Amino acid sequence: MLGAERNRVFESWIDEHKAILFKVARVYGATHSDREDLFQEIALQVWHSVQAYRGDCAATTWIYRVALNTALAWRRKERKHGQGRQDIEAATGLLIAPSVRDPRLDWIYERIAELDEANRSLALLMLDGFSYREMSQILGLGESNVGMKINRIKAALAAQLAKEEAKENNDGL
Amino acid sequence: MDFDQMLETWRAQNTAPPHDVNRDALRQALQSEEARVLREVRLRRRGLWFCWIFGSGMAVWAGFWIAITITNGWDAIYAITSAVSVGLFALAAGAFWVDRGRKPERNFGNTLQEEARRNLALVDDQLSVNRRWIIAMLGMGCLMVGVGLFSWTTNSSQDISEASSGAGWFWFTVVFVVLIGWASFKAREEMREAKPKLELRQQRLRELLATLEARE
Repeated sequence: MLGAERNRVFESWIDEHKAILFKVARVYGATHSDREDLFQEIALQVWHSVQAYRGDCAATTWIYRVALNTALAWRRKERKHGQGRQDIEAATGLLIAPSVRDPRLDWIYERIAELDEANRSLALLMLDGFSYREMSQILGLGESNVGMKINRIKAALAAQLAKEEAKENNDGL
Repeated sequence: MDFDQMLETWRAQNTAPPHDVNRDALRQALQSEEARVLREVRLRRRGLWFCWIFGSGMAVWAGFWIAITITNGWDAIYAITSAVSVGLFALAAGAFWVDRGRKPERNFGNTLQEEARRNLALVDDQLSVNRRWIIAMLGMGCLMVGVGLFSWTTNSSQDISEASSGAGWFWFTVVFVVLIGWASFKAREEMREAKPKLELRQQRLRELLATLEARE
């Protein structure tokens, strides 16, 4: 694949699937600068991966696979070297923050952030409607293992939702 | 918010992402990455060229040393070790030449046949990665052993004492050869796992290409 063609494919992937990159960056990055850094890292890895993409799976699946692998590797690297970095040092201006925030979306991200790293990936894929088979292909886990973990995540989320609803009801009284 | 509403909220991000990307910053990051990749490729290519020229030059120099040894009537052992050094340097130069020569074909068009050819070229390239790596390591090993042997030959024939550096050089060479052997073994193991899938894909692509060409 020629450089120009690779860049064209990359641009179209970013246009169509940038939401995946935002989601993964937000789930694995604790601060805004972390998210920008991770978003850039994922974008570069996606760009590198364009040449290796053979169309054996959907582009969404491919991008998710690259994004999650990059995020997990980035977390390992950050734990080792990135402690104590200041927001202002790392800000690249890559992500343009929203003018209006959806509190319900923030709540979902907070709940996902409470999970461990592997389960965060599963929660992301579950919320985006991937099948157990697709999740097992992306994460390299057995299907039964995926099913078991997803059931636990769903139960945890349902419990949190019930707690939130009860709290809202109490506040309303 | 119930579970369905949660899913709805989540999936709304796909159509209206909460953030936007600063295209200029992304393009800048991409350009830096492209430049970095290009630098690495150039550095590797220059390294290979250097090793090839160095190996060839040393082979010529060792050949010249054989002639000097015979002309001056020095011990036969120096002619033999020089000849072995010539062989090792020639092998190293050959290995680097083979390694630098292969690249996947990239200039194909956009028809289905050309897409199949492009994929086939990439699979061929992936299948040859391990072989090329082993060839490069073999070249490096030959160069190291050759330099050690030829250095001993020239120093000994000229009665230059090697007491201080001889043992160090010997152990360095041993460690280097063991490391190359171990790394080659690991690379071979990895390739053994990936090879069946790649060969199956190669076979399918060849069949597809044959079918497409037969239709013409």
